[in-house]
Amino acid sequence: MRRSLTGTMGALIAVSALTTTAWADGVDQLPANEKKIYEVVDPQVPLGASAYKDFKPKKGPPWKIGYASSYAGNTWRAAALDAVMNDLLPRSKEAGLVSEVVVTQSDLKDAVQIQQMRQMVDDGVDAIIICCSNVTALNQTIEYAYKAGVPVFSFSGYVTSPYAINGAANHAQGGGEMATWLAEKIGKKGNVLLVSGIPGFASSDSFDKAAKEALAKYPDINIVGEVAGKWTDQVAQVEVQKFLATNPTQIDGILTQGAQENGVLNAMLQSGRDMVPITLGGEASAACYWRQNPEWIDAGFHIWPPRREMQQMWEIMLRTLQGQGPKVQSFLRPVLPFTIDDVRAAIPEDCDLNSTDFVEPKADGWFPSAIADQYFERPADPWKPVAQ
Amino acid sequence: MSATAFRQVTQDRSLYVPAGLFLVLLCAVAFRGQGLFTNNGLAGAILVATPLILTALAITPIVMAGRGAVDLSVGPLMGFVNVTLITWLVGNGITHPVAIIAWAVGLGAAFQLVQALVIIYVRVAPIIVTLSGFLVLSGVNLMVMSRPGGVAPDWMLSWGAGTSVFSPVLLLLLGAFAIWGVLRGTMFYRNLRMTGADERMAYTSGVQVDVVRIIAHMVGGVFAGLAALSYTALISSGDPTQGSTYTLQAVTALVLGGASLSGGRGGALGSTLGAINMFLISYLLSTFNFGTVSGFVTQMAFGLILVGSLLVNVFVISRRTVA
Repeated sequence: MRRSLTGTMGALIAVSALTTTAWADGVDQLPANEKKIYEVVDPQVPLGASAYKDFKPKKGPPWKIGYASSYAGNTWRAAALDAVMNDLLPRSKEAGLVSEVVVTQSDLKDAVQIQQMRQMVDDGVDAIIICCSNVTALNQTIEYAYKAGVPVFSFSGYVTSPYAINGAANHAQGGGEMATWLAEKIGKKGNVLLVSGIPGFASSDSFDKAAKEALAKYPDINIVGEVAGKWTDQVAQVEVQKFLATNPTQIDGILTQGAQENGVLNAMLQSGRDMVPITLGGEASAACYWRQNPEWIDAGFHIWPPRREMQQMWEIMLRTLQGQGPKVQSFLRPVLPFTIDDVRAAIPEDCDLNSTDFVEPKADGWFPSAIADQYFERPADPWKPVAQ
Repeated sequence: MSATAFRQVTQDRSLYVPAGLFLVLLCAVAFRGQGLFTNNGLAGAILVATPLILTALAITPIVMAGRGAVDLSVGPLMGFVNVTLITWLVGNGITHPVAIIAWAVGLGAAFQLVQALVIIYVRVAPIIVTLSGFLVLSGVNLMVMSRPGGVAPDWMLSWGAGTSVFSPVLLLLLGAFAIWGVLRGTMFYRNLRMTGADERMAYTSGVQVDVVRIIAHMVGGVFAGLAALSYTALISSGDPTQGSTYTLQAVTALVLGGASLSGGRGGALGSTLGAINMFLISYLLSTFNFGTVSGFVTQMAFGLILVGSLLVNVFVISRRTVA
């Protein structure tokens, strides 16, 4: 027993020593303005140096890409998939970079996702994209892929495996910023309802953790309830309705994660209560309500714009496959606030309150190539056509 | 063993459909590509399918005992063993294989013992008891571990690599079959089938139906413990919520394997075939690229295959009763 304890301690010390050196190698290589994004971060997000610094693909281009999606049932996933099939893939095909994208769905079952990823590796794909999955369950499979020369890219969420490359907004920082905005907006005091995403999922937990920490700094703000909206408008609407119907307490503001705020908004509208500030994450439907009621709030936040996050990961993937050598394991983006003017520019006056689309940053606004270059050892334009 | 299995299939009509579907799926998978029939492909299949096979096995003796006892708690129970193993044991430096395996099997059996006692002595319908078990454990799991994390013990990490067919995970599976094989030869097994087919008649014939039910639950608990071990090996960590998804899959595998939810009929071979078939359906569907509509097509195809084979199954079995 004692022996195993000493063993564990030794291992722990060794691991912590390793992480420190790895950190120095990874994030410290970034320029100061980028390093700032990594200051408030979920401690589970791996910040070491990438395992793909000297990576060369087995063959190609053109490459065959696997997209092992874990869920298909909400507007956000649909927009992300649409970005691949109708924008990124055609453009990459034209440049001779990618030949095919294989898409699978695992309906939130990790075991099925593991099987599908292994199948992709055995089937000879050159890279795998996954989304915001369970942070640890896929690690063995990611290592399996790594050993077969297939890098795994996790977008809009991280996995803890050292053999994966993560790309997302800094969801912890986002949760903190959105919570702080709401707290200031309601005058630093009052009752707040928290609408979480899918508890147990990487981005959802990072957001909640930092949001609660930020609200804890305001002693007069109480979190009076916490419901899970599953990043799906309909679910969020039902959950918030249930909460409002059973809790007559005054609510002064609702802090919700992105991609479900329209459900929250509808629940508030149906409840007959006076409208309160709600955090917006970029859904065009809720943004439309804002456009029609400009006095309602003063800012929204691009926290996980589906098309841009997918594009960011896609470009990181192209660069990695081109042997540009990523410096870090996790590419974090700051959460971008947007104003009513951005909304006015993005959607028309007679906008649709039931739209399933998103208001997103401009194509080069989320992960500009000048900044992306700083994340790679041997930067180059990822979209440069291949001579055929 | 395979000879016995073959004899069983040819003799037991309820196994016709699962066995037939198995062959059809195997041919279809072979036709779609050779990936599954390589060392890595098979190793991965065993790794991924074992937790489902074992959870299907875990609910088999319980459903066989009758009273419509579908054990809904099996998924969260597997999750409960998984998170306690990672948080309480490994988290406190207890990583010895014997301790880990004993904990998993013991905890599974102990929980099922409690459920059996409630069913028998409080006389609540089994489905209500196991549904309560499902809900309670789903909550408890999140209390033990609020989000996925932790690491499996060092010796278990290599189990999840899935690069060799003859892995410890396969041993878990064979171990479970061995336990079942031994049970089949005992008086308990005959009493179990009698109890499930007609509890009153079994009682008047002198079968201690309560004892039979308790043993059935505890055997199921042992299998649930083994399932949790294979699941922990698969994800090499702890996860408080994923276990719940296994309940529905295990019940589907059970029915697909020809067991009757009203009791009396069922067995390890049927449940195993049912679980393997579910894996093969999922594998087969993943070989197609449905592009943007993949989510809906996959679920629809999965559902259609299930409904189709269940219909055929009902037809084949009901003909037996008529004849």
